[in-house]
Amino acid sequence: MSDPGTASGDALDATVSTEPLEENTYSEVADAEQVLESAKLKVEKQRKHLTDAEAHVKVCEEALAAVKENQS
Amino acid sequence: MSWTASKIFRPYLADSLANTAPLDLGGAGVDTFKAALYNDAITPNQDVTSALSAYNAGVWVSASNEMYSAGQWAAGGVALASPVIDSATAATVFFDATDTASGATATLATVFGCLVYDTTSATVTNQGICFNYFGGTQGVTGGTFTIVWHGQGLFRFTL
Repeated sequence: MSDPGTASGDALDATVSTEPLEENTYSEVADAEQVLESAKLKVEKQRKHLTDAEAHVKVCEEALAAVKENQS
Repeated sequence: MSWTASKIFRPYLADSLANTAPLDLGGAGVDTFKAALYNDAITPNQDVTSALSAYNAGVWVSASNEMYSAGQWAAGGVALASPVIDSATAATVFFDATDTASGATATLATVFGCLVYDTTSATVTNQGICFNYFGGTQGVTGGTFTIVWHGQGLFRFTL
């Protein structure tokens, strides 16, 4: 019987600073724009995954056909 | 009820490994994550369902428990800058980001920790990734409130 792979992990406590920043870049609008941009990127990424998966189905269909042909 | 520790949500890890939800924490097309602040009236639980790990669900409901400062640290949180999965160290994988700061004139009180969630997640809207404790009560009056993420990241796995 093989040993299972192991891992340990956890989130880590953060601290808080109230020191002023040299350059404060906080912007609620910029945050909303970032959320929108990543939502659009997600669509593109998922579309590529779908295209790749459909291409893989075709490869598998061809492989199955080849196996059947060899057995006949 | 109170905060005592920082934890990774169990459903986040399970959903990622099973590809139940495409939660992209790094690389090309990385998602956008926000840190929302909470008071000590809640007891975060890493073992809740995916749906109850989400922002504005379960203990993470915004009303009464979320702490924010209009125009300075929005309700719903502040976006993490430069989120990254770092696997450059042997036997280690961790999630990190640049420290997260409010505007320059924020007023916040009784902040004990934050929920880090994925704003891009569509399977469960705003699914939680982890929650991070600040070690006690924190606040600021008319100043900058910056979450200084741990030097080893928001969360870390040793393999």
